Amino acid sequence: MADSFSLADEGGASGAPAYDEFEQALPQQTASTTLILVPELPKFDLEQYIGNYSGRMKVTRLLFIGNHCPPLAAEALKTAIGIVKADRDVRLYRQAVQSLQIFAPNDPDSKLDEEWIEKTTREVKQKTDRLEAELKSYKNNMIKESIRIGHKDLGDHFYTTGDLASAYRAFSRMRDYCTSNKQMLDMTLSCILICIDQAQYTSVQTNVAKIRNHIRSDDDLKVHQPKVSIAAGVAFLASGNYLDAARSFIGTNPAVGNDYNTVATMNDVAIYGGLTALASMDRNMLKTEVLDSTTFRTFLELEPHIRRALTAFHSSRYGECLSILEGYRNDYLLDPFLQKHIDKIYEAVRTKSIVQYFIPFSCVTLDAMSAAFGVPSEQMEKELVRLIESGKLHARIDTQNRLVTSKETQLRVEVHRGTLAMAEEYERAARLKMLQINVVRSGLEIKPPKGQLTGQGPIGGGLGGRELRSMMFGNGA
Amino acid sequence: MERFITNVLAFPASPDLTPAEYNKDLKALNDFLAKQSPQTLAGTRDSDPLELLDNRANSLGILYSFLGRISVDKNEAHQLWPKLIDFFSEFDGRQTKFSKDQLLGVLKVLLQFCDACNKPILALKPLEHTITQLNYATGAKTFSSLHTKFVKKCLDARSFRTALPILDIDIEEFPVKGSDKDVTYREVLQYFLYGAMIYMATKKWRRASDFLQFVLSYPGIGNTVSQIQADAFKKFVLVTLMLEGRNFQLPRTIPQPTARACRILGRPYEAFATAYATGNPDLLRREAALVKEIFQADGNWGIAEQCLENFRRLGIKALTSTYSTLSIEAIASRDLDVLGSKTSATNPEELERYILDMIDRKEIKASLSHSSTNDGSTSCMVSFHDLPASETDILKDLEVQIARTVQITNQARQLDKKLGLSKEWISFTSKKRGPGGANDHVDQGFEEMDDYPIQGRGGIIDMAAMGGMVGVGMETQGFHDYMGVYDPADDDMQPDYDD
Repeated sequence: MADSFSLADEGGASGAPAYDEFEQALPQQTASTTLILVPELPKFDLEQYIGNYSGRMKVTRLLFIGNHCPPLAAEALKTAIGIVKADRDVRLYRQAVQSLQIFAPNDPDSKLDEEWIEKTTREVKQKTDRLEAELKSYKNNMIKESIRIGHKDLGDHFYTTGDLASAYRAFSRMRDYCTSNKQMLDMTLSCILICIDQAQYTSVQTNVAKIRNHIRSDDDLKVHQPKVSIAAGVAFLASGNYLDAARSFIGTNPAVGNDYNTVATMNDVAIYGGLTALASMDRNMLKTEVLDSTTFRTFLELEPHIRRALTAFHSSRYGECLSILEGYRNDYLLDPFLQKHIDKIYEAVRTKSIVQYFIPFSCVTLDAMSAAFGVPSEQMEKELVRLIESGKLHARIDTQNRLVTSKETQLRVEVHRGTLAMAEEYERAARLKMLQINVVRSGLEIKPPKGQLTGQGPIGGGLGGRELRSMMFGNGA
Repeated sequence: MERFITNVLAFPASPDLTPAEYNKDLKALNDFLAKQSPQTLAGTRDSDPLELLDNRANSLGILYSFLGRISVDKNEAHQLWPKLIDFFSEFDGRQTKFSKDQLLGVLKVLLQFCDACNKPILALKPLEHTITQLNYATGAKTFSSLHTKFVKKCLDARSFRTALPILDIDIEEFPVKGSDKDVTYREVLQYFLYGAMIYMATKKWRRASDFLQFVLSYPGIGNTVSQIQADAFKKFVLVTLMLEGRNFQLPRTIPQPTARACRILGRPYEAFATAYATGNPDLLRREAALVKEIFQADGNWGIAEQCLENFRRLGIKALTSTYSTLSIEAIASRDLDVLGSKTSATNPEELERYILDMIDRKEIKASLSHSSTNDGSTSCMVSFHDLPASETDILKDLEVQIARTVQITNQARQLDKKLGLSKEWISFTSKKRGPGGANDHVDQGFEEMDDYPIQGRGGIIDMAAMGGMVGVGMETQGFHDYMGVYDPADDDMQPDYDD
């Protein structure tokens, strides 16, 4: 009894702040990214593109495009408003209409339908109350399965109407009432979905770890592995860990088809996987792990330009690779998962290209390099200086003859120098430790001014020899 | 009187006494002298013991004679000081080892005299000699209150180089607990801080940093932090900038309370270091102007100025790894000279001289070439080269370092043995393990200690194979002798434990 009341309370009161935080985070994001407005049309067709997704992801992407791409804004937002109205998600509706007011103030849809809002809010409230009442009665009957279903219905209801924090809480509560492994998996997957929607990627990672413990049979693996891989990949991507993200995406089983298009389509997997691989792997790894991967090939066939970029990088045609990527920049800027990372990824690809380009040479003219990367030579020089100073490129610039020469490395000397430095460091540390030990042995520690020494006990009493020894030897090696 | 002189002259009976016999005779003489009245010891004008006895051969007699003279007349120091200085610069520490109190008493009189006439330089030589003779067996390696006095006097006299022979000897022992009332933690901290200041004055930054690091990581009881440590922290920041040229990191050995207190008290210094590490000349100039007064009040502006001077040097050095050739104008435009103001544009000719100076000091390896352009003006290109690295030089350094490492390893083992025999360790093990504790200690101790010789030996074998490091005598024989020093097999557990 009491439990169901507290549930209602939490759902209303303490749940709201969490969601509000998320809400606040979104406008901030858009505020800080107002600079990233894509004025040109991307290469894809909006209707076809959005048709690939289902569930909330459709709305999320539409709103994202609506906020970042003025030419497509009206169309995207109007579609979004239609879906949101059908879902009865009042908050997202307000948001969508506000955005539409900026781009198309004269559109009939750009006025808030107060009547609808009021009606829907009431309906949603009624349904929530009904579901909670049902749950309460299930709880009184103490039937586990019914309680689970009660929580699930409530969670689904919160999810479609946009109260994600409450939805997450309802789904988490199911855990205690799950009787089979399958139920557990379904529950965790729902949680992951909500976390992705909320952009809380650390929770995604913990839930992914949880779900891996529950995959027991091969059948489970077949069904759930792709979803888990994609979810993990998205989480790694968001935390900037491109190598692990790439491995996650590449390891995705192509059997996923459209099963997980509430998060990403197969095309997305190809793009995310390809880009993160380009940003984090060297040429050999690209060949063995990406281009030769039988599973990832299926994905790459959907996005041939990513394949071309990967092949170009692998066959050292860096300029071509970079120009392909540059051509699709707008598309990627309109992807909610990629937008924040696209500059970093491109930067990493560029850096790697320059470093890899230089490996076989002992000396290149600056002009040849700037031609290969298609930038003016002054800019090239600046870029090179930056790379050299950050220690990524082992080269020197000859400004007189406009050459880039590689540095000679004397490995023997370096090893000797390293050894010497290490030995000196060791000696210094050992001497310091021994002095300290001797200070304690002679009872010469710094003492508090007289009259303040309370209950310290005899000097050195607490410091047995063992501590001194470990203090001394602990730092030895 | 006559007996006093004869007795003193009769010691030592023969030059080849065994240490035991020598000690016995010395003790007897010491007891005899202690019983004499001051008048006897002071002698008369006709037979002045100070004239009859030799400073080196009859150190003990002379010491007691001084003692007599001083106790007769307090102001004798005014006449005696040249003789006192001679005595303290020459005496034989072996003879005075049973009469340390008397020795320090007389020395105190001399020091008071030096203070009174404000001539610290007079005290340097006597102090230096006394430090080496005071603890006869270990000499200057055992810390004494004289260490602090000596270094302080060197600073007062601004005679930094005189201090180096003593400072360069690493302190290995402190007086046994309670044996020397004059030594407190303050003396130890002061010695290391003053020592660091002298090293800073002589531009031996590495050593200065070691000394300061010791001050900072000095063990304390509870949360106690000394003001000396706070001062050391300020200097440490600047010395690290001098050494590394980048942001300093607090060594991990510093106890938390000390680090926290130092951070609070030395905030301007940290800010300065952060500005320095950014490598942005404008930022650094602004920060330097801000902290200048604070640094001046602390007496640290001198090093800070050297750091600023060094900024340019480091900047040019960094260029050598990025560029192989660069024109003087391009270097000048980088605005590395933070000492001058930004408005006075760097003069290319001055910069050229500066770079030549750096080449002369072998800080960088580069060559300058002048070429005239079509419009008649000349431009100067600097070509940077790699610093030459001679393998034989490095191997030589490595050999020296290995010897030092072996030495420090041996020291560590001796100290460990002493710790294993200390009361604290024994009560600790017996409390912890009950009656079986003692066995445990043996096992434990050797487990840890055995790593040491093995590491050292591995290094030596490699090195011997590479560079033929055992140059003296029969190659294999010499090698085995060398090994013998730290072979754990003949490491008996019998302590050479004398305190």
